[in-house]
Amino acid sequence: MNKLIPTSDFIELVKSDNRIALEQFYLDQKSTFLRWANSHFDVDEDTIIDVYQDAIVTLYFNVNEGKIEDFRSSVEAYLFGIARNLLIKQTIKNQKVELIESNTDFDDRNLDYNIYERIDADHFNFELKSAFDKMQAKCREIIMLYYYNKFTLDSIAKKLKYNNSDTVKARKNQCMKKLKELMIKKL
Amino acid sequence: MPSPASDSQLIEDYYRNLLSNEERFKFEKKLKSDSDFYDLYIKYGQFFKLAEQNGNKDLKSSLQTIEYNQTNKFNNPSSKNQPKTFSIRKLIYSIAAALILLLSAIYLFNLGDNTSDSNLFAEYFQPYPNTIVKLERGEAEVNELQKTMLIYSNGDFKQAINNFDLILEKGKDSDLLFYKSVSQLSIGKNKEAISILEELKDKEIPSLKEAVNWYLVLGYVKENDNTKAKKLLEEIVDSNQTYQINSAKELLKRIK
Repeated sequence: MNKLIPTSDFIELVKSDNRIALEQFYLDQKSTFLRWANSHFDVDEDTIIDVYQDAIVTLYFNVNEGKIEDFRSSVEAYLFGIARNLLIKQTIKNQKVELIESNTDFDDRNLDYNIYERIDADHFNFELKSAFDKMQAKCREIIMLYYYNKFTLDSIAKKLKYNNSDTVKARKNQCMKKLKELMIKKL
Repeated sequence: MPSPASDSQLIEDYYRNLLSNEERFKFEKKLKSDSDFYDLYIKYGQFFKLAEQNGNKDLKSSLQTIEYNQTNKFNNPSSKNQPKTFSIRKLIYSIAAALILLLSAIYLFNLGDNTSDSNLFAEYFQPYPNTIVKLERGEAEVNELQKTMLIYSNGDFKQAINNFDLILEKGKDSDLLFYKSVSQLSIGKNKEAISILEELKDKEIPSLKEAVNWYLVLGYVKENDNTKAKKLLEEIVDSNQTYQINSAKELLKRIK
């Protein structure tokens, strides 16, 4: 029997970007998920694992974005619900797999499933990414914590051991200025 | 007139969902009436999108690393509790790994290079799996990158390097540089590989950092530079790195 994670713990795990706990969650649920997916979908195991990873990323991203603030059932039910929808998408794409069962009681109206479809970058985005990759590691870390993880300046100060939020703010502004300079050089 | 700095802050707060309903209403009104503000809003949108892509790719990449490490555990006969899986991708990895061992053996035999460090390299080296493109069966059209990664996965590293160079002429890409360096290590172009890996290490790209560290160690080992190998292994062991951590600990003990 797998360990179930309390919903508040999972939200905290995402909000604090605790990757070790997330990896544990990934491993804890994996075998149950594989059994469930194998018995409901006729797809190969590589696809199932790929979808399982995408479902974890989708769940993480949506909790991080504040699109899920409360789970109606358990975190695990949500995860399986997301995976189920991703598998259905995959089966429609392949047009070769028959859905055996469909039952779930989770509400996914607000969830963002298109996070991978937006990965294809246009020219501006490509240049932005190249400029971002050229930045110092510390700058990238601050930017990711602020813009992706949506940490507050105070939380970043604590996590990265800065004196206070003002120092983080100044550093973040310097980093953004540097990013703009790198972009101007490229464009 | 508000300063550009306060406009930026306002836009950031909007994207971070920090505005109240009233502030949000004013914000959306301003978007419609102020074209400079609108342009800045679009640019920030691109930036948030980049952060989102980077963050999600980085997370997916760590999950793939866990999976890869698990698969390796399964391939090790001492681990009997992993579920048995079989797939074309894993078959390709196995063939590539076998080819690498064979090529390494031929290389060592031909050069008469039988030093313990070269043996250590052959023992620990495996080409990094393709995690950047999907190679789907029955796909009608294969693009240049997919073709290159297929060549790489099949163990034809000389050809893969030529292909990587052609793609890289169009623009630098850290992922491709990394795979090029692994290919170079595979065919004994160690100095060239080390040079790329050191450059990538300086960049500290989150999604590549751990793999770059590991292959750089192997490059140093292959070049008999035990001082640098040991120093980097100590750095890996002292960090939170998970990729190849057990191999790194073991190798550190074995290096003289």
